[in-house]
Amino acid sequence: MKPVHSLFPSIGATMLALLAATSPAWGADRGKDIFLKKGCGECHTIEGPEVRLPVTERHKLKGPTLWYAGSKFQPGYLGRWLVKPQAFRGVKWGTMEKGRTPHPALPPAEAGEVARFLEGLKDPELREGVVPGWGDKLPRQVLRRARILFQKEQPCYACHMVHIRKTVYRQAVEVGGFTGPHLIDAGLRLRPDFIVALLKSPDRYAPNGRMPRYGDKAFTPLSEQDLIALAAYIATLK
Amino acid sequence: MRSLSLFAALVLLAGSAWAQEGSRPTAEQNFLWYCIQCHGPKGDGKGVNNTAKLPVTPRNLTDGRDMAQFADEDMVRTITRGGGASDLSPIMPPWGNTLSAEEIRDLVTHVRTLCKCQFDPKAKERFLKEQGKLPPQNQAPDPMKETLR
Repeated sequence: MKPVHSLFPSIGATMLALLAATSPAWGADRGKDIFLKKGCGECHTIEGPEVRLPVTERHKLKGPTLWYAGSKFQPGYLGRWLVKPQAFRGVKWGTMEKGRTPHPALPPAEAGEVARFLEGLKDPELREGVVPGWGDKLPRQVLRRARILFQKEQPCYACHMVHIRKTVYRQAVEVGGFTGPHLIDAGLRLRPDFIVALLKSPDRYAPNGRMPRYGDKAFTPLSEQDLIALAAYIATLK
Repeated sequence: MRSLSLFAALVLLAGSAWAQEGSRPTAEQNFLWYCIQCHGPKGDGKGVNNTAKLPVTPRNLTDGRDMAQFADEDMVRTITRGGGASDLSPIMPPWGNTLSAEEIRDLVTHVRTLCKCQFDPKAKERFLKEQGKLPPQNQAPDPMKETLR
């Protein structure tokens, strides 16, 4: 039987550990440690903005940048994804070869901590609250305009795989290309405000990708309303 | 002496940075980054995004008989503003905000080397006829139809 006073240090240490584990800042630091220790930084940069490389150099990039991951992903998504990761593109990273680049999985506890760290990486310049909180119930006019844009005027599915219903009565069919990240579960994955920001300036968020630039110059006359409608619609894809 | 070598190094660095900034990618390099997705590395329309469920198949840019219908201006417009601007499929996105005007001109020249063809107005006529977009001969176009368009 230990004397009562000798238990104090261990109780104190447990309390401290509990306090630290529930503190977001501590979780983020630990998440960053795991991120660096596991070598995630070899493929993903966490400082931005990313530099635009000549097209001949872009194949050297090994993975997407994560410097704005907190502005891009829905809270909680990364934690779930890191446990059972599957690449979003239907072609291997940096190639035109069909297939998916394998991504290492993390144990749930570590995945949660890395996700907490990544969710803290935000772009201070990204405007929040641009897309109204319609959720899955878009106003009829917005939905109609977005569908016309997505399927007819600027068919995003040429590069991004989606599940589309031809009519409300028919079952959703899988259509689309392989080179862009799929949008099948985009609503669970992406924040609508980020989609607007990306459509407006892929130079900032994906300067080394293949995404055409929309909305900021004359050649693609998409209005602010169009971009919001498109983002809100993509956010309903689940 | 040391300051002189430092100055020379700075001049060299600035020079290489300027060269990198000033030089633009060749048409083939741009083609193999952007166009390859749908048109394929050889330009034959067999890109990885060419799937059976797409409403149109990406154009075979090596088909000289077909490509001869497009004037250089048509190609510049299509690449810059997308297929919809040239009455073609809007699946072809606009690249005018991504590529410079010079890069687009270079791409047109590159496409001419792929199709080994020049613009032939008769090819255009043949294409429009095949598509049913040319009114039958000796018959004036319907003015109402024109107005509605």
